[in-house]
Amino acid sequence: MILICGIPTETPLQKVKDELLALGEQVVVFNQRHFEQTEIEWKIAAGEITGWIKFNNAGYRLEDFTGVYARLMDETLLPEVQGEVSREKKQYCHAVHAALMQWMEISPARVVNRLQAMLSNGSKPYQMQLIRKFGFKIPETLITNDPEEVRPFHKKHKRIIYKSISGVRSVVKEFDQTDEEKLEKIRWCPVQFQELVEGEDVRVHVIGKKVIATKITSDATDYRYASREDKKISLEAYEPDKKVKEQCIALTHSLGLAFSGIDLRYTPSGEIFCFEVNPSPGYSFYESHTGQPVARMVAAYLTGD
Amino acid sequence: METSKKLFICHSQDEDALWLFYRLKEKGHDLELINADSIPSALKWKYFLNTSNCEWELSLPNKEIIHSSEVSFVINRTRHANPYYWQKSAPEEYNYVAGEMHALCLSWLYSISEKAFMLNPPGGNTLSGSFFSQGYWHALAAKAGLPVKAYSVYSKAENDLANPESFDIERSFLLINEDAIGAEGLPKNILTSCKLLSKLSGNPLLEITFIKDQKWIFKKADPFPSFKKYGNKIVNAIEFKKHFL
Repeated sequence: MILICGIPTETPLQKVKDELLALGEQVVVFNQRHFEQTEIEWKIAAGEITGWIKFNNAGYRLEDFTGVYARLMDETLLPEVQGEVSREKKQYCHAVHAALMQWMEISPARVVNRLQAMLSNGSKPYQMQLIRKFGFKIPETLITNDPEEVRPFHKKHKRIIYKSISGVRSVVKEFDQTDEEKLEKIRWCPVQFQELVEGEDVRVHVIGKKVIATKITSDATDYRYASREDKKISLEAYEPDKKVKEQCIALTHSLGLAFSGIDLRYTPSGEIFCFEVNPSPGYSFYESHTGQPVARMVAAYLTGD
Repeated sequence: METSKKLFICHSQDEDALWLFYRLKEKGHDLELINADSIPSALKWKYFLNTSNCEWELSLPNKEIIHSSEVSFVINRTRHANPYYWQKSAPEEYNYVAGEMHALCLSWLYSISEKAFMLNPPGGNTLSGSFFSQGYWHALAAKAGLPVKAYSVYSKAENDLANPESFDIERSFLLINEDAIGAEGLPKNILTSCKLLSKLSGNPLLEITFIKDQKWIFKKADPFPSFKKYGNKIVNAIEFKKHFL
């Protein structure tokens, strides 16, 4: 039996659920927005974890779940706890989510992904230090609050980008004359600058020991926002070589992840840069453009494949 | 530049850490106190990272400059990286800057810990030590081979009624990079499992508390313990660390 957690209408959740049902699996969905109708209790004793979850007048033994796929949104942002809502309701919302997430951390089920493993994505330069241990190149990066450090960095690399250090507001933008004019503002908060690495983007999805890769061709600085910038984008299936696949699998496992979305860029001179490991990949964007079976692969992993 | 600076990073309100800092200073050790509250307000951050290297330079508000090549030892008690100078801005702006400073400090502390000995290095999302839920600690302790007290979680339990406060006799001791302080009488096999727990959790400095009844049963672990109660033993344990000398 597989547990799916999040907002059921969200595309990645829906696709994995459909694939699980196609495999004949029993699927139970915890809808975050229905937290008020949910109860969860679990216990760890002598190394055994037992418990139950109950919603929609049905109860399930936690030890019967052999796989969990979670894409939980921040529970404090749920519409049900906005506005004039009692403190008790907010506290209960937190209690349900905390109990569920704590259980997912220690459950023997295949969990995609455990929270602890997802934390490295909260600091991009921290994660890059982990990435470079697996043989990938990382872009030269300068984080500073001193404009006088940015100018020689810009001059050295000719083209640089800037983006957030944390995972928030993580849109990548190329540094241009307009930014030069407001560079003094960085004195108030350090900013992350990186050399602009030219090349072709490849998104690698790793699930367990399997790999599905997609090549992205776009003239946008950040292809995820190509349509917003009125830029072109095209995606196609790609086959990385064996070594790259092994590096991606090793990196994913070292972070404790079962499922990852790794952003690579292949330069014209044959170097491979790795920018980021996404621990909760919104894979449906790639799947919808290429028909690659990422959801099927996630479903198969959850069932023990 | 010489690799010799020993840093003691803590917040100005961390009395326990300051107690340890001044005990070490009294013994004549050359240790620099860095106020963790001043780090987000650094006059200059220069943090450079590439495939093979990481270099940084930090100019603190007191005009002190620290460079990546100088640091050999760090006692790190950084809990947060709050940008106080943004406090009067809109909450969403403050939260954004706080998140950026946290992410930068996490990376910075991690890069120091890659080259210098650090008690404790940052965890996945915490600046000093890896903090886990109580259930996670219990699972990790069991994995390390420790007898563990049953622990339960119930979404409807108020104020942790699922785990009422016990009045068992408790016994805590401290591990500092595998040296045990206050562990007299602790069976050897339990100590071995505790060292494994310290390693599994990524906390070379870890206080572990047992229920001492007929046998030793794991109750909790804390990577951010009080130092004072261990008195001179902790001072001695740190000053004889080879990285410290």
